[in-house]
Amino acid sequence: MRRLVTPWMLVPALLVAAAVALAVQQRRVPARADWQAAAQAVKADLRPGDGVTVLPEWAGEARLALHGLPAFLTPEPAQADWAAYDRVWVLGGWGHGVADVGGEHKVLEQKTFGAATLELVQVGGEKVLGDLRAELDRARVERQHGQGRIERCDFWDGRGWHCRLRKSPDATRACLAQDTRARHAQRKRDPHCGLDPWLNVSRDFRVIGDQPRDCVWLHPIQGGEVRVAWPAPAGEVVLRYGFTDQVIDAHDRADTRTRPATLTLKRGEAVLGTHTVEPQRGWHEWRVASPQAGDLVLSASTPSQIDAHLCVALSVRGPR
Amino acid sequence: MILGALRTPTWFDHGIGLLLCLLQVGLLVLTNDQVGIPRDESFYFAAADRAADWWLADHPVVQREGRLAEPAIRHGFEYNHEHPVGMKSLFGVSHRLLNQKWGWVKDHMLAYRLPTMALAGLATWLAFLLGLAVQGRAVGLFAALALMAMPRVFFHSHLACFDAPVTFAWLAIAYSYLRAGRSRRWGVVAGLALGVGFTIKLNAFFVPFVLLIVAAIDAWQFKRRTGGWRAPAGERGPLTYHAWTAASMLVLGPAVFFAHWPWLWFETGKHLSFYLSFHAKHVHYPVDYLGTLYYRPPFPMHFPFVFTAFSVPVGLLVLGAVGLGVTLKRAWRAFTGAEPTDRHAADVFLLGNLLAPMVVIALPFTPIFGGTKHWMPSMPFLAVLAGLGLLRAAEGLRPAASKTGQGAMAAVLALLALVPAFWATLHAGPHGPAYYNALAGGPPGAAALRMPRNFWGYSTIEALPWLNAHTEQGAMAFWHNATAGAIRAYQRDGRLRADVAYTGDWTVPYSDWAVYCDAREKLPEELDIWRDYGTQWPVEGVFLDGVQLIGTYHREGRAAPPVPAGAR
Repeated sequence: MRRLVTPWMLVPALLVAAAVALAVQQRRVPARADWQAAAQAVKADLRPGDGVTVLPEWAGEARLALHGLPAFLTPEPAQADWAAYDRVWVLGGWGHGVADVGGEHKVLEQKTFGAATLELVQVGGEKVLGDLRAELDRARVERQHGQGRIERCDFWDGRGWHCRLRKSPDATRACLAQDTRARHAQRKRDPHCGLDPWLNVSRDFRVIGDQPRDCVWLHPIQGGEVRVAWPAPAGEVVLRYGFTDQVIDAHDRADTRTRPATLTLKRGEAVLGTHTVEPQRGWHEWRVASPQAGDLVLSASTPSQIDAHLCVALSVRGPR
Repeated sequence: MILGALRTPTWFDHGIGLLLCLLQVGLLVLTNDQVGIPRDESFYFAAADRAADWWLADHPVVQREGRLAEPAIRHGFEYNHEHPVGMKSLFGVSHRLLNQKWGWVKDHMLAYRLPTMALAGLATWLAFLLGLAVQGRAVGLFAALALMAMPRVFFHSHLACFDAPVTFAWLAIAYSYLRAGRSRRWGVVAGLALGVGFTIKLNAFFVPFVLLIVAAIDAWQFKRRTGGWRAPAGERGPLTYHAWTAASMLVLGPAVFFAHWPWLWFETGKHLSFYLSFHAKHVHYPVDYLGTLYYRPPFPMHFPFVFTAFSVPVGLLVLGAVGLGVTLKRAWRAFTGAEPTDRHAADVFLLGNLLAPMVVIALPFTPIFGGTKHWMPSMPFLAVLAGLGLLRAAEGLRPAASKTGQGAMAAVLALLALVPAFWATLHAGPHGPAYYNALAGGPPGAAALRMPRNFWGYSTIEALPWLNAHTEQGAMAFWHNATAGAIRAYQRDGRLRADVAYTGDWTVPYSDWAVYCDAREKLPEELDIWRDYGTQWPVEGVFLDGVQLIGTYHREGRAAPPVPAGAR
C-alpha cells in the first residue's frame, strides 16, 4: 500500500511554514503612522508627572514620535526604574509592553493603534523625591587638591560645572553661543571654548553595563577629591554608579587602565558611607537611609585619573 | 577522474547561463541607487582612480616617469597596498573609460561597481554550470536562482569591494578544478583561475587546501576501484590530472599574482611580507553576537554557522540542509562502503567548498572580522546543495511518479523556496547586512537577539533624500561612519546636495545634523550626539521593518548658557 505520509512531507511543510512566518512577521511591524497615532493619544491626555517610553527598546521608528513628550528609554525592562513618574505611557510593539516590566504597576488603560499598542500604567513602589541629574544646576561643585587647596567649580556651561576656564566667563559663554560654522572653524585651536572636556561634573549619557545610562559625569582627580554638594530632601539615598564600558573592557587592550575610585556620601558633616568602585563592568547600586534633609555631599577620589570615566546617578526616594 | 558522470555544458546550457548572468547584472544595476557606500568601498574608489592612472598612463607622474619607474608605481599602488589590485584596477579602469572618457555610464558610483556586478553575474552562470555538472540542468537552474535570491549576497554583489569578486573566483577555481579532473587544458585554466583569485582577495589562498583533500580522495577511490594508483598504459588516471592541475596552480597562481601587482615589482620581500602580516595580524572588528559584544578573540566557533542559519532565506536553508544531508550520507557510505565510487570525490568537493570558508572564520585564532561576507564563497555551494536537496525531496515526495511528475513537484517546491527568498532580496537586499530570515524573526527578531545590522555606513544613502529636502543651505552635518570619500561620491552623483558640509570624524560638537549608523559597538557615539544635541530622539531615520539602521538627529540651536545662582 502506498504510504500517504512520509518524512519528506516535512520539506514542503517547512517551506510553507517559513513563508507564512515571513508574512506574519511583516504584519507585526508597526507602521510609522501607528506610532504617531499612539503618541498623539498620549499628548491628548498627558499630565504633569507622566513619563513615556517605548518597548521594546529597539523599536527605533517609534522614537521619531517622541519629540515634545517627557520620554525616556527602557533598555532593560525587567530592571526598569520608573520611580521618577506617577504614570507611564508605554508604546509597545511586537507583543512587548508593560508585561515585560518588573515592579508594582497597575495598568489603567490599553489601546491599539494598528500594530502598535499603548498602555497607561500607574507606577507603584517608591517615588523619587529629588534627583541630582535633574537638579545639577542647583548643586555646588569643588575640587580639593592633594595639598588641601580647594578649587571652586562654578562655571555652568549649560550641561555641567567646570573648574578652570582659559577665558573669562563672559568670553566663554560667548564662545559657546557661537553658531556651528564658527565653532567648526575654530575646532582645532579652541575646540571646547577653553573648558576641560574631561574634568568636569556634567549631565551625561554613557554606556555602562552594556546599556545607555543617563547619569552625572564625575571624573575623579588623582590625589584629590571632587565634591558635589546638593540640597536634597530626606529619604533613602540611592546611588548608582559605574565606569564606562569603553574604559573597562570595550576595547582590544589586554586589560583596563582604570584604577579603583572611592565614593563617599555625607549628609552635612555626617558620613553616610564609603564605597570603592572597582574597575569592572557594571552599573552598581548603593542605598543608604538618610532621614534628615540638607546638603548631600558626594565625593570621588582615585589614585590615577587615567581612564577614570566614572558616571553616577544620585537620587533620594521615599514612599508614594 | 573525479566525476564519472560529469555533465559537460552544451551551447544551450551556456545560453541559459548567459541569460541568468544578464538577469543578475540587470537586477544589480537597477538597484544600484539603493545600496550605499561602506567605508571600505570609498577607499577603494580612491585606490581605483590611482590604479587607473597607472594602467591607462594618463597621469602626469606615470607619463613623465614611465610605467615601470618606482615613482609611477608608488603613485598607482602605494595607497591601500594591503590588498592586491586586481579588482581595484578593474574598478578604476571601468570608471575612467565608461564614465570619464566615453561617457557611457553617467553615474560614477555605478561605473566603479560594474566589474563587481559583472563578476556576480558570472558567478550565477558558474553556479548554473556547477549544478549542471554535478547533477543536471534543474539543479543548476535552481542553484543560480538561489544564489541570486540571497539578500546578503545580493547586497555585496553591488559593491566595488572584493567579497563578491572573490566568491566568483573561489567558484571559478573550484569549477575549473572539477573540469580539470578529465582535461589537462582545464588544469591550465585552474591555475590561471587561482591566480585571478590571488589578485582579488586573500580567501583564494585557502582554496588549494580544500582541493588537495578532494584530489586525495579521488585518487584513493580510483585505487580502490582499479587496485592501483596509476591508470593502465595509454590512459590517464586521477593522479596524472591532479598532478597537472597542482603544477599549474603552483606555477600560474603565483605568477599571475606577481605579474598583476606592480607594487611587488620592487622591495618584493618587504611588500609581500607586509601584505601577509597585515591579514595574519588583522585588527579585530567588534561584533555584537547573541547579546555579547566581542572585542577580542577567541570568537565563538559557532558564529559563522549560526549566522548563516539566520541570514539565508529559510526555504533555501531547508533545501540546502536536505542536500547537505543527502551528500553527507552518500559521502560517508562511499568512505566506509565496500563499493568504491567516483562520485565520492564530487561529494567531498561540494562539502569541502561549502564548509572551508566558514571553518576558516570559525577557528578560534582567526581575527574577528564579523560579517557574513567573509564566508560568502560558501554560498554558491550551498545553492548547489539546495538544488540537490530540491530534487531529492521531490523524488521522496513522489517516489512512484514519472520524471515529469517529480519535476512538477520540484517546481512547486522551488517556487515555495524562491518566491519568499526573492521577495526578501528585493525588500531587504539593499540593506543586506540588516537582513535576517524568519528563523531569526526577521530584522526585529535579530534586534531582540542582539545581532548586528549595520556595516560601516552603507545605509547612509537612504537618509540622503530626506536631508536634501529638509536641511538648510550649508548645513553642517556629522556623518557617522560614512567617510569623506563616500559623501563626496554621493555629492558628485547628485545624490546629496553639494552645499551640505562634511564636518569630519568625531565632530558632533561642530555639527547641527548627525547621521548615525546604528551598531551596538558604536552606541557610545550615538550617546555623544544625545549629550551634545540635548536630545535622544532622532528627527528622521532609515528603518528596516521598524528597526533603526540610521538615526538622523538635529540640533535645535545654540544659546549662551544661563548663569545659575552662585555661578560665575
